[in-house]
Amino acid sequence: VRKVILSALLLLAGMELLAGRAPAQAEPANTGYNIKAAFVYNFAIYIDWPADVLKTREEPFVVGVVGSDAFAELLRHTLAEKTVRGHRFMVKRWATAKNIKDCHIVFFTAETQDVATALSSLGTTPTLTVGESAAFADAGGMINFLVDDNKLRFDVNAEAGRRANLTMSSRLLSLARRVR
Amino acid sequence: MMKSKVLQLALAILLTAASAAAQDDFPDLTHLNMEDLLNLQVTSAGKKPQKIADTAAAVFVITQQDIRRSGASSVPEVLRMVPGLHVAQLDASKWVVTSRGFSTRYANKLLILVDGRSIYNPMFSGVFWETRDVPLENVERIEVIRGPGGSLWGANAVNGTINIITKRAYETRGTLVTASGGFNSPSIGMVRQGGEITAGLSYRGYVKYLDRGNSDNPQGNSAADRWNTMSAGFRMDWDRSGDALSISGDLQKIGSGEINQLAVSLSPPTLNTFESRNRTTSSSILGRWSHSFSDDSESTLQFYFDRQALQVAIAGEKRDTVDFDFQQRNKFSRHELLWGVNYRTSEGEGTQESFAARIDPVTRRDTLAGVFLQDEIALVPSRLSVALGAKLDHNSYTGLEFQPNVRLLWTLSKSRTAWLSASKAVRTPSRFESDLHVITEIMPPSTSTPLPIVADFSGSANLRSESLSAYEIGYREQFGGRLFLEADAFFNVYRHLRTFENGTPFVDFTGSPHITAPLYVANKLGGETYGVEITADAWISRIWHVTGNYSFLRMQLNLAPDSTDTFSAKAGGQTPQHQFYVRSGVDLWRSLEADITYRFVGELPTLEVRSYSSVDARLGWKLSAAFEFSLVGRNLLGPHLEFVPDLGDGMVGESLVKRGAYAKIAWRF
Repeated sequence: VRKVILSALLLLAGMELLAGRAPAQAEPANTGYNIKAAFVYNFAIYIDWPADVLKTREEPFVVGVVGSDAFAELLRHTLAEKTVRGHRFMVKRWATAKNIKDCHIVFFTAETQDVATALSSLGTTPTLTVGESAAFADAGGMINFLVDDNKLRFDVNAEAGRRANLTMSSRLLSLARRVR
Repeated sequence: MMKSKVLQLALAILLTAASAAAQDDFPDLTHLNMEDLLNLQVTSAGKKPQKIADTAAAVFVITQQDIRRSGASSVPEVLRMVPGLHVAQLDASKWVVTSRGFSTRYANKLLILVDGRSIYNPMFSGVFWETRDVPLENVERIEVIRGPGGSLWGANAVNGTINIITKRAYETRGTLVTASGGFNSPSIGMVRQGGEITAGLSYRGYVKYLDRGNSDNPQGNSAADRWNTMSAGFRMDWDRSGDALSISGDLQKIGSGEINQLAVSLSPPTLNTFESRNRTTSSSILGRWSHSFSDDSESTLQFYFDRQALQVAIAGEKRDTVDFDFQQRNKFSRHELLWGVNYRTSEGEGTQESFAARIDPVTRRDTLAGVFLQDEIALVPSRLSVALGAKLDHNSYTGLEFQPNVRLLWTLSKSRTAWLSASKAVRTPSRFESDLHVITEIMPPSTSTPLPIVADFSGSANLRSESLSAYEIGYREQFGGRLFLEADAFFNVYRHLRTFENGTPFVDFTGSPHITAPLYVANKLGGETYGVEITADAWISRIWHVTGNYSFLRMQLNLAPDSTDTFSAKAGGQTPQHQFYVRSGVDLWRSLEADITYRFVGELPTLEVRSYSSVDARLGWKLSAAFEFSLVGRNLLGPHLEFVPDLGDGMVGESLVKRGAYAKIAWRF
């Protein structure tokens, strides 16, 4: 039995090598942004926006990114072929936090300056704010990412979400590290 | 033994992790569900997210969600959801937990670690689950690896390894108060307090109390099996860039009971049946320091001290264990190298001598020293990797033990992986098997034999290790974001399994004359087991999650022709051939969860335990961010028997697992 298994192992390995697939290449650097991108997609699914938002099928679901162009590009790539409740996604990017408007989700990357002003200018419009810094959380952002023990976690400010008329599913809330 | 950051290890170790699809510059992870996303490693090492499921082994991870929604109130109950495991409640306090066969209360082929500290008892080789209370509220996750882990964890990780990993102190800031109680259920109270002292330095402390009343035997009498525990513990974590220091400790005082029957005299009455109260006090302290030299290099040093005084009907022992563990991980070109050394010294002192049992020598110190090395090689980067590893241990009973392992992981696509492995693992003899002398039975004089017959068991210093050669294969696939399927199969070949042999009876004139029928241990059982485990995890809709699994196991054990053992081969009929588990969880409303669990466990023919089905249900209501209330009903289909005492430890009687229910409140502030 041992011989059979060992030769099977070798055979598999050999076939894979002969097929010449996947030449050696460097692993791309990754800062956890693809996990965050996947979460943004899930937020769109697991949070309900008020009924008067996104009334027609043609309106896109708009995700804004403040700061990092690389993340905006990654999000565009991630969300390109996807839809949420029939709406396709659109990713917009702003270099600074001024003048953000017409988004369903805004992601403030770590390099964003003056988050507090931007958050207060959004007021109680039904916009989900997502961030990745202590400053963002302190300023009253709704979902804040952080890395703990090498894993991505998020805290939720449910009160801020309620003020913006967003309904977060209990599944989402139960996965949060902290809900306040 | 598992050490350091268990997850990283489990990854590095178990070999591998072709990240979901490093072919793209931006691996798309939207096919994973949120729970899986949270389980990805954002390792500083290569900043490469790794999914624990992408290992070349049968791994099952129980998350906090799973624990909460299962309605379980102890670790063994939580483990019921794991494919390939057999979990049976023996009575109100005692459990049988095994992986891939050989179920008995003295199951000896499964290694259990709590934050890297082994709770596998070298006295009788196994785990008395009732003697270690781990508060479920402190558990971050439980990683269950079925199949051999000897090349990493050393001896006794034969059929599986369970790593119980507690939350870091930072995760348990604030105050938590929980209370639960009901009927046919334990009453549990716990208070936990944690906080952050300065940036990077966090602490927590807890006290917990548990009391589970006597259950009934099938005749309706008390099984005298009440279980009560008092425990307290702390943990401190200190993090700085590149360094992580963790110190934790606990104190426990535990009582459990049973009806026991021991030999007391050569003249009638020869046996005494009594209600035995078993007591355990234990204390432990563990320190772990991890240091990252760079993204590709990390070292971990771990130390623990564990003291346990255990008193069961037949024997008592005080044991002190000191364990040191060092390991290092290095990545270079296509290799990920993991190596480590460990040293453990453990001293056991027998604390009870009786007519029925004595241990000789009374005090014994055993040492264990080992070294392991594993190299994970990316044969075709992100497609095919192989891990070669082995552990070399030296122990006081059998000397050197070598446990090698080869695992191959093939990432077929973003969502499909397949793996193969071949490994060897051993189970080393226990102190009882070596040093215990016990009178297991006295037959009074009869017309055919005018003298009483005394069955006298003696351990043997010549016992060998039990060994396993295991061959495993597995496949897993993620279908979109909604369905995950996993299947694995194994073929295990066991050699030198322990047997109880009958020696030649002789007339003994010491004391009053009697016939001694000697019983001794040997390694005269071998055999094969094979099985299949299938797991499914589905999000049927946004609010409806269903998980389930099916396990199949066949055991074929054969005694050596010269063996006189009459019952060891029956182990083949003590683990169910078929097991089925399914759990459905629905989020009824933003704050209301409804869960229902069904399980089927096949019959245990040699113990005459019939197959049974059982249903548990739970309603959880989050009244506010601070307040949670839940109602749990268990074994709703009615009473059933799950296991019976099966080895000659004197325990008598059976205990029914009955319908029960409890309410629980949790308050956080």
